[in-house]
Amino acid sequence: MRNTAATRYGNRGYRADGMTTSMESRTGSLAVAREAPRSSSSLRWGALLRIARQQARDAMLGWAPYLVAALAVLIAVVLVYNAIRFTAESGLNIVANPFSLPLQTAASLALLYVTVEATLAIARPREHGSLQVLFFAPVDVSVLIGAHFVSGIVVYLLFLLLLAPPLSLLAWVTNFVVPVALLWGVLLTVLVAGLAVAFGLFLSAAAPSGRAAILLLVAATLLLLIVQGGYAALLNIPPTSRYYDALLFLRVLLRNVHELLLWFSPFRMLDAMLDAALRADWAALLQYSGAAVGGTVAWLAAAVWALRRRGVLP
Amino acid sequence: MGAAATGGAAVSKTRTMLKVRKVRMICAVLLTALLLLLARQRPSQAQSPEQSDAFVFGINASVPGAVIGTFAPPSVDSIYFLADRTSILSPRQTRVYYWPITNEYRAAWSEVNEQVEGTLEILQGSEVVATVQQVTYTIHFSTGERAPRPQLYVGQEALQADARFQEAQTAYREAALAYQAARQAWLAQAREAAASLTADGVDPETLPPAPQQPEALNLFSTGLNSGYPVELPAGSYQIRTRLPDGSIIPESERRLIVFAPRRTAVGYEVVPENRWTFPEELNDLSSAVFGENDSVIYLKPYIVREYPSLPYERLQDPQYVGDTSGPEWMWVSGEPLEEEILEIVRDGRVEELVGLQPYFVRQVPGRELGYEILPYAPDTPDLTPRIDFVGYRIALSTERPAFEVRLRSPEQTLLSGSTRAVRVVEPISVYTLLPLSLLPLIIGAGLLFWRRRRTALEISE
Repeated sequence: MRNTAATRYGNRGYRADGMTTSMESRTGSLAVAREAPRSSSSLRWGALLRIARQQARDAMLGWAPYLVAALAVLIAVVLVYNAIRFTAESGLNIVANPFSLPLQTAASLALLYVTVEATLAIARPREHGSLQVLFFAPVDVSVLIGAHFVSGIVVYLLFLLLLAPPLSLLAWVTNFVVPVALLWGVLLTVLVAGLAVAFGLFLSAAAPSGRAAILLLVAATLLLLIVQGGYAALLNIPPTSRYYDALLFLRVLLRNVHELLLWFSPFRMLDAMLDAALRADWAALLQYSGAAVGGTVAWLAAAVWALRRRGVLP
Repeated sequence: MGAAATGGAAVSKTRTMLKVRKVRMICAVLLTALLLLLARQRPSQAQSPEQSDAFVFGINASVPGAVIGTFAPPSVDSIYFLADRTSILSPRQTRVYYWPITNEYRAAWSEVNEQVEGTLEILQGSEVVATVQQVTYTIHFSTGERAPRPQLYVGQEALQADARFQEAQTAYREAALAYQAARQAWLAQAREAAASLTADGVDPETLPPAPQQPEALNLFSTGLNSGYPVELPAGSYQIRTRLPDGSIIPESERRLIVFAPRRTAVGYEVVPENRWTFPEELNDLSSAVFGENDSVIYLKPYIVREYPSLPYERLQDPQYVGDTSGPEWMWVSGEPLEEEILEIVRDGRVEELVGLQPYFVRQVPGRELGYEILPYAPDTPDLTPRIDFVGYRIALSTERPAFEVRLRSPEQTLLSGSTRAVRVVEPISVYTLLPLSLLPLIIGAGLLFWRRRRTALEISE
């Protein structure tokens, strides 16, 4: 079994054009299935879990997640303090969706972190030439992508767990309201994290190098955030007059792009999910969850395809 | 030499005078020409904008507590209505003109305002879902803060309402005439009394009491009109007007967008005691009140509905050319609630019941705020002469730092969407909060230290 898998992926990795036919792959899979169908799937599952555990452990045993979490808490502290300070000054403060913005910022940072990790997950070891070593185990492309995906989700959940004590303490110390619906919404954002990780894995599998993958991610993130931030900024700019608006075309354009992003951008989806959770709009939550799962499956399939196409060699 | 010099000076003076005259003449000619030019231009400036005949829809759109009257010229391809409310579309032939100052078309109703006969067809896709005939309608409205909301009457109700209005108007006119007559008579009596004035003056007993002026009629009517009553569930429709001969008026084909509120809830106007003239709105269900210790707030509840901002804007002005600016969803205030009891709930237990109470604001010179808010009592007119506002009074204190407010109806049912969180926050230093951000780093450091130590132990073993 080990030899079959090694031959299958190792050999394909050494091909000059880095390409393999789907027939080859299919034949290989069928051959494995005929030899030991049950042990094959359990071995693959075991390998997936082992890689995922290792990746998650590696991620959590570095300083990066703790630094990002510290930054998230720092932003939350500043936002909450701002509201309290205003209350002390004016005597009354009607806070719309209290604690929503701090949680949204924290979840966005968590998303960004797991996406960056996923973007480097394949591109970096491939660049170092260590990716092919993995394929001498009962590992194939789907297992590897699946393992990194599971690892990303686990790290996201651990990240949220890491944020829970300081944010709870912050809410308790300041007597701030944390709507229960918001917590449900945060839990559901794990589906959005799946979408972000799957997208990162696709970039990682498709990009020629780690640097290129990161550059692509930065470009995509910037584009998404510019559209989202630009739209939010335009909403706060009043029209030139009631009858004429110099920014009309820009407003309409950005609104349409912004609406489109609801089905593609993890950041936009995160916003929409938290908002729907606060409104207890289960139909919208189901819709966004469906879109997130659909997007995740599509990006994972694209990642598998890209890794097969590009191979495991630098 | 001297004479020659004098003569030369005279000639020079004459020449200068001639030059000045010439210049004056030229100026006069130019001025006359300019005036003539301006005089010629004036009629063209005073010309009215170019008008054209057009089929338009007069619109009376029902919104919570009001009826908004607008019109849709041919340039408007979409008309917006609220779902499950009766609004009116009136097909009219008129003249329209473009008004660049407000970037919109206006109707010259005074010149042409002809009702167009025919039926209104409402379609969804290619299927006609409703055919509407024109009916009589009227709108009644009053002025004043506590006056009844505008009311739209349709069909038989419109005729009855109009009859009532005519009756009230006639009664008022008769009362006003009677008052005038009584006043004239009273004035005559007063004059007679003044004529028989003695040194002791007029005995007040001899004068009859002055007549009381009848109360002004605070009811206005648009009169009876004709239009299509439209009441539809939320959705996107097409409309068109079919003439009696079976043909369709092409300009009548428009999109009709009917939208409903995303949420309906109870909103509150929050009046802080320390600045009662600057109340704040508490509409969103997940918004919370944060107040400082030892302060007082007054809550004034009302129904709120959340609508998409852009369609709501276009409902009020079908020619609105802008896009969304500000929030994408807006809360629209509706009917006030004045029969309910406010419950203060803490840890799931009702701790206090608060009733709606009228208040009087007394100006107090020299005090810090300049006023004090007193509960209105009708039996102490000197102390509390009038009602300035009504509300539920809530005292904020750190003894009760976190609680919820909600409304219970007289039928003892909780009003859905009336619950809001209230928090009493005390000032806190940013330096107290900042160390919280170190907590993840401390957790990480602990984990890494534990891992390193475990690895070292494993190696040593």
